[in-house]
Amino acid sequence: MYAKLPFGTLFVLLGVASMPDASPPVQVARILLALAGAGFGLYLIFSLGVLIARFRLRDLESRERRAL
Amino acid sequence: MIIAVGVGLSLAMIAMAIGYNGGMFLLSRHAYKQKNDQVGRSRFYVFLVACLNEEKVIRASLDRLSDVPGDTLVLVIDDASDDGTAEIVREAGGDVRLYRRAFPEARKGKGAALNAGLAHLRACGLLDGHDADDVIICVVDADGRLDRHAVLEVDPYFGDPRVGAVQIGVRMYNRGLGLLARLQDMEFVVYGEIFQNARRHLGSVGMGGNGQFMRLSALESLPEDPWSDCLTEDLDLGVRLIAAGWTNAFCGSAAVSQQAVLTLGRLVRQRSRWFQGHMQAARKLYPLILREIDGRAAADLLYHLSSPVLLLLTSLLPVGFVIAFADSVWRGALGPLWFAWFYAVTFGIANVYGHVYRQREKAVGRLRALLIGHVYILYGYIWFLSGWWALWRYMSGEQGWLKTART
Repeated sequence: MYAKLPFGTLFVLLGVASMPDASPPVQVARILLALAGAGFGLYLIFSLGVLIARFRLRDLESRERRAL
Repeated sequence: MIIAVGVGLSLAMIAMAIGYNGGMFLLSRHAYKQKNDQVGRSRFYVFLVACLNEEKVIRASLDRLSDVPGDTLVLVIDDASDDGTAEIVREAGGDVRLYRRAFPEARKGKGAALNAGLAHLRACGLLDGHDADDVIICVVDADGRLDRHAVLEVDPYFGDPRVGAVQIGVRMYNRGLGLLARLQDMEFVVYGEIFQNARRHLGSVGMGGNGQFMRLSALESLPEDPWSDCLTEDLDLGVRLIAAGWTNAFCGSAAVSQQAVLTLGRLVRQRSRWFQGHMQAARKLYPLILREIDGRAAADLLYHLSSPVLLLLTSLLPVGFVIAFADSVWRGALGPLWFAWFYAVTFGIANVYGHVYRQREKAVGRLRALLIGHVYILYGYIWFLSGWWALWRYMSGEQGWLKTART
């Protein structure tokens, strides 16, 4: 897959975050940003789990090698 | 408070993506030193072309392949076409061989056809007398037009005995036929010149479906069939080669040109298929990467495989932006300075894309490249549509896809 996060998409977030005031529609926009952020939070937790799984796998393998 | 934390995490997501993309750009500008221990060895190149009803494009592809200098052979695997594909291949003659598959084995996907082609190569004795280290299998799509100098450019990479596969650049031969085709060409050039070049330093170069050159001994070292039934069997193969201890290289000085799709609907559909394949591959490859691949290569591959998740998350951002932007314009709350700043941060990167593209496409003038770079930023949004469509298909258990139609 050749997709990479489009910079334009990422920068528009900065646009919303820096809107001069917080009218109700801007609040709605910020809720959407917060939703994306919450998803990213889960992504980070998953990544942490992956990292722990990696260390555990490596640890198990080295123990098995030592046992042989 | 919760909203503030969420927005903060969104900003962290941006920071990560900018850091990754910026880092890859800087890395891609660094020279890569190629090891070459096996100078002077001659290698046998076999082009595998899997075909299913390709009479519109196969003749031009075979003409190009037959014209490639060196010790070469073309094996066309006809996956039970019911058009004139087989007749055209038979007429080609020379070093072009035809292997026809029949039902019930035929039409089980590109991966199955390629595996059958490789098995046929071995069984019919075409590889007899060749050392598997010196046989290079190259996969070319039926619409692929390989650069005449591709083998000359790729061959030195195989001088390093650790190199199991080399991916060359991918271009669109019909890039002159409208903006959509041009943008696809830019997409592949940017991907190759920035990401694949950078990945040479990380040891995580990916394989593409077209223009992948692989050492036969590397394919034989894999515990399973080289090509899987995954929708993105190329991605899958590239990672499994790295996991088996081989190095994947990228050669940007040669390219295979393929046909760009010319309508938005077909493009979204094609990208949905890739997106879904990426999700399929991620499930299978995560455990393999965690077990077998070290350091930077593992980190990059895990990030790359997780990109569908990040893409779907970021698709919420433009919706939020449009709402807030429309409201602010309506109330006249945005001054000219804000617009200037917004333009700079949103489209400033178009300069980089335009510059990178012009390095490979001199025929496009500086200003035109810059303008295409601007449109390319908007073009990236197609992935959002494709991504949600793919997720829908994935969740509803639809795993099969028809291939992209040729014109």
